[in-house]
Amino acid sequence: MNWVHPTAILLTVLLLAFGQAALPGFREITSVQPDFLPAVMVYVALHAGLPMTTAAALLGGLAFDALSAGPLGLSVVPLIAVGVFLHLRRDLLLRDSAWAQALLGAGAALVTSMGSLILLLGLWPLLSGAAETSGPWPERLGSLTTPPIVGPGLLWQWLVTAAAGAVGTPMVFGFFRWVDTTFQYQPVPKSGYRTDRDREIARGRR
Amino acid sequence: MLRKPHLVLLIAVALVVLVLLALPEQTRSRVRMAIASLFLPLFGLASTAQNAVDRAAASAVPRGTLVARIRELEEQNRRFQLEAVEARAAARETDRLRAMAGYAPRSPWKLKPARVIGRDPANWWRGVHVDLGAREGMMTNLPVLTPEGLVGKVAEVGPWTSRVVLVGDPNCPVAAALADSGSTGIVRGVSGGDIEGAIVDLSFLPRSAVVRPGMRVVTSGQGGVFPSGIQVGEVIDSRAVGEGVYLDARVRLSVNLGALDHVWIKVP
Repeated sequence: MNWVHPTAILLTVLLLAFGQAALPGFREITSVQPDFLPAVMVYVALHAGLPMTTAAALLGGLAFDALSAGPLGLSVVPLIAVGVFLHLRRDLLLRDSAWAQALLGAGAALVTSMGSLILLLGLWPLLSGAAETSGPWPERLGSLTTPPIVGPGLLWQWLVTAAAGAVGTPMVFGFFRWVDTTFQYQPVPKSGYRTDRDREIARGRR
Repeated sequence: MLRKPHLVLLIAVALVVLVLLALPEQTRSRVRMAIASLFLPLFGLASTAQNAVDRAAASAVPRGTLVARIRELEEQNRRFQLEAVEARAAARETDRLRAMAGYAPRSPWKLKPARVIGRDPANWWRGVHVDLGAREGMMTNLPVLTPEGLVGKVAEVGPWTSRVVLVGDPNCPVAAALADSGSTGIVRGVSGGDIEGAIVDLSFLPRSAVVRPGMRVVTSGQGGVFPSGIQVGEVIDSRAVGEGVYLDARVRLSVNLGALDHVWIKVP
C-alpha cells in the first residue's frame, strides 16, 4: 500500500462528514440524514490496518461532531468500536460479496447510530452544559443542556440509516476499488517460467 | 488478538476522547467551531457550485415568464410600500402613546442577512450553520428569523460561521403566547418527536386558557432572548396534561425549517 490509499480514505471520511452537513438531499426526501461514515469504517476495517482504522474513526467522528450540536468526540467511540470489532474478525468475513458488504454496512450503520444515542443518553449528566443564567424562563440556557427527544420517529431513523448503510457500503467498496486501480501500480502477473534451479530437489542426509 | 502497540494506540485515542468530552462547555465550543471552520473552503465551494447551478437554471427561464414575474413583484412592492407607510404611522402613534404613558420608545430592529451553509448532520439535533461569525458581530443567543416567523437563536459562534439552534430543538425553548388571549407557555420540541420538525409543543398553558385550532402563537418576549410579537406558528390542537393542571398545545411552525436558505439575525 502506498500513500494514495490512506490519503483517499482520510479524504473520503472528511468529505462524507462535510457532505452530510452541506448536502441535505437525503433529508429532504426521507426527513432523516443517513450517516455514511460506518460504511467507510467497514471498508477500512477489512482492508487496512488498525492504525488506519483508528485514524479514520477519529477524524470522521471529530469532523461529524464539529458540524453537529452533540458533544465533541462522542461519535468517535461507536465508529472505533465498529472498526476494531470488524478488523479483529476480518479473516472470518466475506469482503468481496456485495451482499456481505451490504449486510455489514447495514449492521455497522445501525450499531453506530444506536451506540451514539445510548452513549449520549447514558453519559448525559456528565456531558450537558450548565445554564448560563437562571431565571423564570429557560431561553438563555447553554447550547447543550437538554437531552435529545426520543420518540417513535427513531424507528424510521434507524430504518433509513440501515438502508443507507446497506446501499452505501458496496458503493464505498466500489469507489476504493476504482481508486486502487486508477492511482496505484497493479501487481505484475507471475510468470509461468521456472528456472532449472527451481526444479532441483534439495536432498540432504538425515 | 490485539498487539501491544495497537492497545497503546487505542488507549491513546480513548484518552483523547475522554479529554474532549471533559472539556468545559465554552472551551468545547471553541474547539468545535475551530474544527468546523476548517470546512469553510468546502462550504464556499459548495455555495459557488450552487450559485452556478442557479444561474444556469435562471438563464433557461423564458423571457415571458421573467416579465410576468417582474410585474408580479412590482405589484407586491407597491402593496408593501403602502403597508410600510401604514406601519410607520402606527409606530409613530405607538411611540407617542408610550411617551405619554412614560415607557421608553421601542428601538427599531437591526437585522443582518445570513445564508444557511449547512445543517446539523445528526438526527437528534435541529440546527443549521450560517455564514456570519464573530467577525461580523455575531454572539450567542441572538434571535434568528425570516419574514414568515421565528427560526431559532445563535448557539455557537466561530470566527467566520455560527451555529443556529432551531425552534423545536430541546435546547431552544421559547417563551411564547397565544396572540388572541395572551396566555403564555413555553415552546419546545414535540413530545414523542416529530420527524419532519414542523410541529412543536406549546407547554405550560394555564388550565383556564382558551385554545382553539388555528390560533396564532407569537413570542411573548418574557424569556430575555426573543423580542415579543414574532410569529411562531398556529395551534393544531390541545390537551390537558399533568393531571389537568395545565394545557399543552401542538403548534405547526410558520417557517419551513427544512428549506431554509436565507435568514435574518437580530443584532443588538
